[in-house]
Amino acid sequence: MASPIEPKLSIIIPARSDSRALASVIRQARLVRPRSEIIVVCNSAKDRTARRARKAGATKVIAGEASLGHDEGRSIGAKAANGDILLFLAADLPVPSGLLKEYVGKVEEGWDVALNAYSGANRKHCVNVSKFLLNQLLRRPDLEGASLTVVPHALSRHALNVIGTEQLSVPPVAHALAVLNGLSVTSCGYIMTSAAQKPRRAERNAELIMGDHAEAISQLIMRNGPRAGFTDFERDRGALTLAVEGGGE
Amino acid sequence: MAKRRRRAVRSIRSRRPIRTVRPSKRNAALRKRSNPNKQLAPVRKSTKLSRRPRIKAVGRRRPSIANISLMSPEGKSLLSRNQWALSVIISVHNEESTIRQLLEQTMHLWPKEIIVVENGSTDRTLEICREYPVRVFSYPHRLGHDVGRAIGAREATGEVLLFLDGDLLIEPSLLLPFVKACYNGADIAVNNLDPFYENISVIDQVSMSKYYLNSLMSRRDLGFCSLTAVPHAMKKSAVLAIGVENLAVPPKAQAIALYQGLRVDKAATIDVIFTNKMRPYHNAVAELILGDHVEAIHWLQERTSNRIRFAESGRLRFVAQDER
Repeated sequence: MASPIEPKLSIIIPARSDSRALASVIRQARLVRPRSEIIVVCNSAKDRTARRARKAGATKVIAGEASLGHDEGRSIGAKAANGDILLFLAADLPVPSGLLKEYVGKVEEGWDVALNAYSGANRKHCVNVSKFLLNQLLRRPDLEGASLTVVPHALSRHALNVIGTEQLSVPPVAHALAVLNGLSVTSCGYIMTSAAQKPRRAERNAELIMGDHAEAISQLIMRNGPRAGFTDFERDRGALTLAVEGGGE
Repeated sequence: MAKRRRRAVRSIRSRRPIRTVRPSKRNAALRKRSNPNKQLAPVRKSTKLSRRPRIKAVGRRRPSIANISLMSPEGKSLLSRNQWALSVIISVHNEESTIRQLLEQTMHLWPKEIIVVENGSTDRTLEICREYPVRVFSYPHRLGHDVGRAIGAREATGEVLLFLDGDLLIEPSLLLPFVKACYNGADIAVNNLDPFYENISVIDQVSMSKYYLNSLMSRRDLGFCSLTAVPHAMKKSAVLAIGVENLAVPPKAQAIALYQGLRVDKAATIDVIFTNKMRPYHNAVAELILGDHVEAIHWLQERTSNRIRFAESGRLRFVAQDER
């Protein structure tokens, strides 16, 4: 039985018009907490997706006129959310509610950001490399390749306020801001998202994610200087502009 | 329907990578756990288990060596060209144990000049260098990483510059492919380290940053190759295009070269990973190289955009901002 002081949970599911698994995703989401709001963000109101979402039990269905870009549903959903904990899911990846409870539990424990610990199957793929590298540059090598790019992940209301709703559209930037602003970030669970990914779309998204990470690194540079706070080992760059000291033979 | 759902759920269940332990070690561990006080019989070395052919160490597969013999016709023609076109640049700091052998080996290349940039040595390095017909530039203090290279590149007069490291002895026949690549039109010839990464599953931070920088410049084919690693060769014209001062930060030099569309080739593979000395400040060097890459990315972002060359592909940021 849920106590009345239990923090309210908002579950945000951005959906494309081709999300067939949406109904089962919503069904699992409803099992996470007894009272939670489920927000589905889809491209068009007249679409089958919106109807399907309402039928499956979504609390709020947000639909825009224009087709949304990658990850923009997250920002819009987060803006509409009222809960103290926000859980982000994907419409094409049904995850059993038992595994989802872990992420919500972490935020209830006091963590600000709970990421999916899955770091990608192929460590040599450019997307996974950039996720790893970003965590290295943020001095959080313990996070390995965990990133806000990957669902499911949960945020606290405090984290959302610090990061800013609109930054969620570019997940690596939000990730960098979370770590740079001193939020407590952890990773838990291990849910392979690549199982649901369509290879052709993944290749197209790789470029986008690479660019997102470049943007995140620019945030880092803005905060910590052009070397992001890494040592220069006392390079004597002045020696290059001075006259030669020793003569040749 | 129910059947289909179950399958989807199972496919995303948590799967952790399995850690493999060698059979002999595993047995020892099991035995220990079962009864710690029990005296174990000494393990005979010629048991069936140990006679089993060993699996080759992963990630250390030796790549095919592309060397050009100095005595071959091709080698001879390269050497004759070296006499008026090649400058070899060596940055040294306290290398009295290797410098003599290194200089003698390098002279087999018949270069136009050998430039030694000695900085902050407290041993006999400088005296030894003076015994050889080389141009020595000596600095009383340490110049820091890679600055010596840049100074050597500024002073070099040859058409092609070959960069070596003071503590790394490499056969001259293995160095010729780098020089040859530059004679044949490459602006920069880098050491091809990709074969060492073929079979490994975990990549260190430095290699990740190299790979990320190459893929940022849409040169995923360059893989883990970087100007950070020696040996590499470069045309003098490329040095001038990049800017001498930028050579002190090798990843930045690489980013500039790729940005300007210089031709960067993988010349040959020389094992510098496993022969590299493990130094006490190894981790700090990793940080230095990470910082270098950040600097390179910063340089690119100043000239392009925050996203470098990647488009947004249909993201309408105003949607989220309007409703604010």
